[in-house]
Amino acid sequence: MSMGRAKKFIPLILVLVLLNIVTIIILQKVNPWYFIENQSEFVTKKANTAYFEIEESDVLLRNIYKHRQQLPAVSFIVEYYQNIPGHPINDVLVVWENTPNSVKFPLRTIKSAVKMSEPNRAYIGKKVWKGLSKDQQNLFEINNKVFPITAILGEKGVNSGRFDETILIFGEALDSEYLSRLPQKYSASLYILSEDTIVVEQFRKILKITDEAKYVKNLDVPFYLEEHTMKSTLFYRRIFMNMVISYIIVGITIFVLAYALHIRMRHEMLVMKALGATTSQLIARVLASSFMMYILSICITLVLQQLTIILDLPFLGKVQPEYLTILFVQTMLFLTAYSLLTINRVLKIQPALFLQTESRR
Amino acid sequence: MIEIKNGGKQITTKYLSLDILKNINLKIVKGEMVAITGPSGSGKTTVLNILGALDALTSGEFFYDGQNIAIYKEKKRALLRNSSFGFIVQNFALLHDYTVFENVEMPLRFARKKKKAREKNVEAILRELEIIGHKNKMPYELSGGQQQRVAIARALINNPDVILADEPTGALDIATGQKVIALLLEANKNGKTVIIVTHDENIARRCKRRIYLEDGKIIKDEFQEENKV
Amino acid sequence: MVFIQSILLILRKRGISFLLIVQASLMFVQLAGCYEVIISFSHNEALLASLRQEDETIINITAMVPGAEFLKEEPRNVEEIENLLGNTQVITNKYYMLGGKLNVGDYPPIPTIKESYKYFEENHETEVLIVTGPLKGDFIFSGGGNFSPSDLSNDIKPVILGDAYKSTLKLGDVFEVDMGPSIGNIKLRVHGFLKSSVLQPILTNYLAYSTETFNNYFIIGLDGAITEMLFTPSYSMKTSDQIYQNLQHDVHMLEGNKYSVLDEFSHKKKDIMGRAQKKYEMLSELGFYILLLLLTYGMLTLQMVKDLKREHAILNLLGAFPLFNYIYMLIYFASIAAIGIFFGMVYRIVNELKPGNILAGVTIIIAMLVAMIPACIEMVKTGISRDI
Repeated sequence: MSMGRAKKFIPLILVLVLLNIVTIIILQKVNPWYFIENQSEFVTKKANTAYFEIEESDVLLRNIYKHRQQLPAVSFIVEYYQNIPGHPINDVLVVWENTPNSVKFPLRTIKSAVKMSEPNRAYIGKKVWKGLSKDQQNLFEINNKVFPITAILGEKGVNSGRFDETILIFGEALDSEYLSRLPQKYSASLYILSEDTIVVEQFRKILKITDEAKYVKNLDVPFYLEEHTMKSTLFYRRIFMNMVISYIIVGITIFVLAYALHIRMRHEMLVMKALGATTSQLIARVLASSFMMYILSICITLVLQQLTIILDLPFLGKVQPEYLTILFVQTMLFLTAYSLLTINRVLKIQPALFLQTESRR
Repeated sequence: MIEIKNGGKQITTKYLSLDILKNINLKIVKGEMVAITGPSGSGKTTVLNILGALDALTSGEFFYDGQNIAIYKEKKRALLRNSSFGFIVQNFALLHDYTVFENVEMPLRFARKKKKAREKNVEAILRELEIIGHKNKMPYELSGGQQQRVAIARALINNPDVILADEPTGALDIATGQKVIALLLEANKNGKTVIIVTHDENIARRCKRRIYLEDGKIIKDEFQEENKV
Repeated sequence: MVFIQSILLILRKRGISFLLIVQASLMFVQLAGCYEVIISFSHNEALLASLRQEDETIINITAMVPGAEFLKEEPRNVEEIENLLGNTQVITNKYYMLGGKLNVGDYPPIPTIKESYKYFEENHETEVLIVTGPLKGDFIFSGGGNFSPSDLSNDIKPVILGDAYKSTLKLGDVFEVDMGPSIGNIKLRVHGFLKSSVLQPILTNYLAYSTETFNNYFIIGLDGAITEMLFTPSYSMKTSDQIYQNLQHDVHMLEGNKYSVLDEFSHKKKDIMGRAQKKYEMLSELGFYILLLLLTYGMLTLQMVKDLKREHAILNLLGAFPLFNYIYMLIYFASIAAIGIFFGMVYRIVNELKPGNILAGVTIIIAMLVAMIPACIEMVKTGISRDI
């Protein structure tokens, strides 16, 4: 197909690409746990995963620290979240065994002479990394104390939420003056990973988790994380309504563009009919152009997404692959509508008009 | 080979019923060169539509090579148009988003010819009509005469038996128009039936046969001496 | 007559006209929403900007301390917590839903409004914030104001209401609320109204940005004794022995790579950062819709002009001035957009011309006019003899 012929489809392709971009942005917004699910991956690897939801987080944490020596040496996550209507912000705090090296965040190490066992080191989020001055990027200073940066938190192209703005330093390096304010109220969930079911009971006894706390065994961690972030449905309802309205608006745009395209292609279709094209041949042409638009719009969107990830821009980021199927489906739906509209008009073409329009224009 | 028996074309709208053609009886044999003339509104274009299987009669019969075309559905008529008819019109009817090559190639695509055969045929005819140098140009980059030659190439590419021309020189200057008519005459010499609808007396006089239409009826149908101008 | 003919040419496209009206009205709703959020944020930003320093970057510090011990002492009541923290403000982030929408098991007892005040429809959602001291931060009031600590010790507790209740309650009104079996009924007096559609600062710690206005809120001031009965506030606290724990701070960037830890939670600054992001999101949404508008009207009008070229040439022959043809087209599409905007406004049930609505309407009209420029250029090129 020559460029001249492809040019007339550009507005339609542009609309589809725009819609796909907006969809990716919304998917990132709706799924703040994408980063955290990398954590939950290690959580679900063990055979038994027990989960407690406890209202009094400070009691829980207090007990964890107090009885640390008694607790079986297994990994666990304590999750904090605040429920704010309209916006599910969640922090995940990873508590691990007595080794400062077992951070489970995805990390991109920076070449540094600092050993991993050195307490005076820091991991930082990528927004902080970008904000640091170029010449001194591996160091920063807090209250006159210098910390070398060992790694950047999070993967490239993934919105890691608050961790992008976090400096993570190790407690041994801190002194008392940092202890000024304490975190406010949280709810907490405790995930216990163990192959041994008896361990769960040990935890329950040691941490004095009462029977009133919710307990689920072998849970699907991502599902639970997701469910607990959705305590406010207002946020998701608004996003859903926005998507519905956007779909209607885009649908109308596609209809109008299809109509404009049809006006432009009316003459072409008429001539082809006069030259002996059957209706099915014309329909095949319409479907071929739809297919071409489908491939182009998907490819352009994915290329833009990859570029954004590689260049680490805040615009489009990684989205879980299964959610990307939404792009394929919605593009196909709109192009199907376009094809049906155009085919409907193709069927109405009267070859008898050929001479009347061409001879005495 | 083309025969219309008691042909009539009626158009019915919400408000009125109009007889465009009335009682047309017409027989055109292979290799004839026919001019159809008449005042505006006499039904010349409608006759051409019928002859070219672009439209159907509302009454009467239309035979092409012994087959009754009147009962054909649109698909069969499309195939017939593709294989047996070539159209040349006043405004050339070229596709502006396609190159010259693609325009001429179009009928072969609909005939489902293979790519190599298509290329070979198109190049041959472009060479014959001396427009091979413009094969990758777009129609709007060509002059009127060149465009009409492209249209003629497209009309001839499938080696049709019948060429239907509606005011082929209407948009051209005299000199170019003469060249176009020369091409049509040559096609006729090669055995093709040429039917031209025209107002131009000079063109009409050059055809062997002249049909005069008025008010949807054939008033005169006469063979005439070829008059070379 | 020529004008009518020209309009009639386009009016034939009834289906398209209807769709354009629907599109314009939906776009209006979306654009107005975007503009209002942007204006809100700008308003708040301007206000808060006067209180903050330049070039601030908000960083969190998270310290991971294995093997740290926790508190030595248990908190007793809210007052003690407040004294230790040196902060007179305690805000809970438990939300009650008036009207019984939530499952009772999830939250402490849900207060319900007595029947004598029937300004709630069934299942009306109201959000309640319970505070044990005056509001801190730059809350913007449209009537009344903040309450003082002494107001909490009265029998009738103060309540600050969102704008939604302005039509049914007024300053000084007293009404009863059922706070559940352990407390029973308490009386509330209307102490102030918050300004509508302004995103007030939220005094919780790690909120990136607020997406809610306080229009539907009740902010009830209760003294410590009552709140203790509702739930046990749980805070992890330090003692004089400097006990470490997992903590999060707000860090204030000085310059270059230097940071200092702030002494207090910089709620406002956190808010600003989040709002900048929200503004950016809204602008992207605006851009998306405007682009769609441009494409719709641009392509449609261009193709229509090309299609109707012959008709327009004839009209010119009959005496129409070529320039007028595109004015007629402008009028037609402007009417379409205006009808769409009207329906959009009806949907938003607007009884006053809010800036968001005006901006949305203006955006649609301007985008439509800009989109029609190529079509107008095409129209002006129409020549009588060439196009008939």
